[in-house]
Amino acid sequence: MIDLSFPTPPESQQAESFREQVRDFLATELAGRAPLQRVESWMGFDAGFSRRLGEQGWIGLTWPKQYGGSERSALERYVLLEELLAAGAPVAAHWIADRQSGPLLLRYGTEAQKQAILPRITRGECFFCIGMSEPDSGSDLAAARTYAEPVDDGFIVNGTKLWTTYGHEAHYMVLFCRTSRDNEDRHGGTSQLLIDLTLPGITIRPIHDLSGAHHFNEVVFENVRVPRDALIGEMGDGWNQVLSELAFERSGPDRFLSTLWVLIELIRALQGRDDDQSRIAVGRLTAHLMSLRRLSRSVAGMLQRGENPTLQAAIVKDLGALLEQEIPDIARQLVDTGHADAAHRDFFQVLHYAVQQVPAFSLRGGTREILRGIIARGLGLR
Amino acid sequence: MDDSRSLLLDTAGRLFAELRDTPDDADLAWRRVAELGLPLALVDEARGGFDLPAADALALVRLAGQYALAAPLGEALLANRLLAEAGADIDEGRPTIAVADPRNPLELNREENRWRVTGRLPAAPWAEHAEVIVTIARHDRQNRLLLLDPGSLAATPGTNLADQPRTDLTLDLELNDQRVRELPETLSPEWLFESGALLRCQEIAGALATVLDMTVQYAGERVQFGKPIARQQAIQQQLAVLATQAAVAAGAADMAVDAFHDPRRQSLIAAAKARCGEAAGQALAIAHQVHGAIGMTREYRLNLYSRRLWSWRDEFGGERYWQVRLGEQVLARGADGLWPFITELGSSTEGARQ
Ligand SMILES: Cc1cc2nc3c(=O)[nH]c(=O)nc-3n(C[C@H](O)[C@H](O)[C@H](O)COP(=O)(O)OP(=O)(O)OC[C@H]3O[C@@H](n4cnc5c(N)ncnc54)[C@H](O)[C@@H]3O)c2cc1C
Repeated sequence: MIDLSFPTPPESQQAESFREQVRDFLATELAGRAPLQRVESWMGFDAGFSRRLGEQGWIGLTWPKQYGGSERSALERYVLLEELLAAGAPVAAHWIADRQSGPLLLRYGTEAQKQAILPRITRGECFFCIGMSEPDSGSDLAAARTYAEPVDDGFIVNGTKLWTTYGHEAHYMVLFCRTSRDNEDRHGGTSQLLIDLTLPGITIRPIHDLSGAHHFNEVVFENVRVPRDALIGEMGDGWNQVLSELAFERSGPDRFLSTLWVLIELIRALQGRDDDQSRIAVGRLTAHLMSLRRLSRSVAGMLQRGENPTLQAAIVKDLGALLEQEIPDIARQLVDTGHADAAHRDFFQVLHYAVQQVPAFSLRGGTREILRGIIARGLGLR
Repeated sequence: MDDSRSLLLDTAGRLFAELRDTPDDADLAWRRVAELGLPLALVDEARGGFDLPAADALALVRLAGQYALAAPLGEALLANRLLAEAGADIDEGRPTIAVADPRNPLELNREENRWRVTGRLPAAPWAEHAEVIVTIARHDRQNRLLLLDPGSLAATPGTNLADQPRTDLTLDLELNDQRVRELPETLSPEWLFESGALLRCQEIAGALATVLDMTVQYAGERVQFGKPIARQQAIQQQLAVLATQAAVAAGAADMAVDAFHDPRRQSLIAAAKARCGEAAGQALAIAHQVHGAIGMTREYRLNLYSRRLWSWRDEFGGERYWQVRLGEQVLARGADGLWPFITELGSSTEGARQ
């Protein structure tokens, strides 16, 4: 029997009372935040908000106290994340550091790196970006060409990273690069470096997305001298480290709640209507959300127990992207989009924002085809 | 997994596997299942059953779906549970449940010292094969279990798509007090309908696990263009989607099972049945595509699962029914109530999990 089991998600009273605390905080913080801002989900950037969240001790919630963390449970962290997303809080500034760069450093970083960086992340003062993709390396991450040449006192980096989300606002990048000239060793010749983005030789250029917004960037390295102690983990272990990072990236509530605010505004726009078409659509999407949230919380439990739910995480992300993409499609069928009724202004604004974002949901963090390839491998097909 | 649970599931699994070669012999399956006492799994120890949490007993139903068990074990589990709750004898015979459409409930009235019940019980599972049919009706705000004798009912026999007996019963009967027994407040007619939906969720989840297994295995064996079709990326991607649907159906069914004792079970089971039904359709479309023509034959085993799945997704409320029920609750709470609704349902109430 193929084992696709998703164990019962753990529960705790403590996490539920924490939920109330988070909701109270957000109710005050986000009072007056418009739906059009809330629908930005985890792309909404506000450094001030991240700092205030840090003051609460809510960045790096599960990390050890010695690095500024709060040593709370993974369950409480799950609650925090989903409440932030459900409220449409502007979390982008610290999101990547909290979700993957910080945990990566905790796991593989040197003591000096941890002490220098982690407390600043938890205070909401230090933001990260991900330097994986390149012009000729997207899904095929191991094709990365950016080369960090080992020299006496460190590395000299040359290359170009692409699609770097909030690279222009970040203090550091976790750079995935080659550290060996041996191009035959596609995996073993790679490492990860902690890059201070103020170093000379780094140029960050904006790339405007199709809606005209500036989220992602091109980051060019020209003879950038990086000190030896910037190495994260082991030389040549970059590929394995990146894989473990991705399991954390793929199953969280950010993988199925991106268009929750479209559904919320849809429900608002449907108020007063008395037809089964509305009930069916809203009931169906709610059923999908409830089922997927159960799977996602189950993966959170597996991560907490130190298991390796690569397959389960890929399943959650694939189903999650489908749901996030379907919500605006279905919303369009329920409200007459040919007549943008002024009474539903918020609805049309969030809908139009979402329509321009949804194609990315099955690209970022591993494309749909790549995820399905991972699932197929889990089924023993590859 | 707890020891007693895994022991029970192991034993049952071995039996169901043995019965795989006689998929049409419901009598044999029933006899063997009854010998092991499995139909009593949802009954408390004090009333002659096992000392099992509901989730463990209901795991048997998923297993039955997984092996396409010929006998209606789930229906018997619920029927025996209700007989026990009403303090009635649980004899060794075959019990089953019958459920009125929630929009068209039975009418139960007191006439002198007798009861009079009228109404319809559509598509009652295995009604003619049972020794007793139980259903729930309300009278004067009291839930009552009706013990019906199949021989005394106006019945129009029929089957679902999978040839499982489904009989339309029309009731216009007088019953004595022995056959109309008080039930606790929670065990309403709606409870029975929801529990029926829960059974189908479990069976769908079990059957989809097998459909996934069979399809992956077949793709590995079927050679075209000089290699197994499983080596084609197009097939791999489709099988991955099939796996996601099997996984989400299992997760949704788990959610329904955890809600067995939950006062808010209606919303949770609604979500689960709607999601499982949709998963069944999507998964089967892929399973059949990957199997090619062989999957369309009566001889090949896939149809044993596909015809059941196509039936089960409709029974005890299809997707449309439960989506409407869930949708009306969400819409009634309004836009800002959506998220609290989802999170409240996601955490169990005191004592909801046994
Ligand atoms: C909004 C957004 C933000 C992003 N942020 C970042 C970031 O911060 N940092 C970062 O490093 N990257 C980032 N990315 C890049 C992202 O990781 C890549 O888009 C992704 O890995 C896919 O690479 P690609 O775009 O080059 O597409 P390609 O890899 O060229 O793929 C194009 C198409 O071909 C398919 N394909 C490719 N290989 C195969 C195969 N073997 N089998 C079948 N199909 C295949 C893909 O699935 C896709 O459909 C971001 C992307 C987006 C959209």
